[in-house]
Amino acid sequence: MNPLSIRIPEVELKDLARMRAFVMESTMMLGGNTEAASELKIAVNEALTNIIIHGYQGKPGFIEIFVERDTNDIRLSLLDNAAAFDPTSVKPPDITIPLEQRPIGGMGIQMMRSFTDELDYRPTADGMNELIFIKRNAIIRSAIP
Amino acid sequence: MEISVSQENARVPVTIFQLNGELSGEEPLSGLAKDAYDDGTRYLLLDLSKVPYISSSGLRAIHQVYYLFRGQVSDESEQEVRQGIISGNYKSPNLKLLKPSKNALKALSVSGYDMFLEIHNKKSDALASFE
Repeated sequence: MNPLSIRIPEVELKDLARMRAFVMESTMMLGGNTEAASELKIAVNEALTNIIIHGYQGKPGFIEIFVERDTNDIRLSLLDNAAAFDPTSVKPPDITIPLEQRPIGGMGIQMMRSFTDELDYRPTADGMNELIFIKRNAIIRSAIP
Repeated sequence: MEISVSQENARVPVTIFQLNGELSGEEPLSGLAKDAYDDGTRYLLLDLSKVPYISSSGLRAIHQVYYLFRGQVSDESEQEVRQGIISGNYKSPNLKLLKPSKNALKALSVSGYDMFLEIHNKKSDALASFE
């Protein structure tokens, strides 16, 4: 089965709800369980928000999402052509620091890591960012044809 | 995200925000909390039972509310807070959380917020904990 995909040519924050719905629905269509779909949606939402706000910074740019089944796993990849950025290279925050002593924010990448089983980044040959999320053992039934 | 506001009189007057929907932005939570604080509220319970998940932006809103409700503290209580933080048993006396869903609780846990905010599963217990 080919990956399910959606492409938003000029992505804006208002498109987030539509993309979250796509992640949820496509994971379920591929046979994924509700819990895996929900967690994947939460992880991907953080990446999408970062791409729109910090990657494109208000300039026009696209996001493309591919979701596919890989044996018992769900594999989702995001493509964008914002400036190169590897979230997997960012050091995890020290969550034991009291809220009093922390700057507000900075939890997006931590959420990406925590709500998926594997997070990989690679720059594509044509200079785009590809961010890959894998949910392990997420499949509970056959894909809906 | 919709927020309904109610009041309960426990040992102290407690304002309850019942959040309904995804907590995926700073507003309306931050703005409503600021309004409540300006109107004299000092004890706030966030009922998260109808929040399916919290994003990093939602965590930022909770952090802002936490700071807001710390308010003005005396040097003495500042020292007590610091001592509590050092010993690892400080939790906000002003802001508490009620019944987070599984994914909301996971967001609070992976960010470490659950170490510094009391989380209750029963409203009566949450209200009784304010003093």
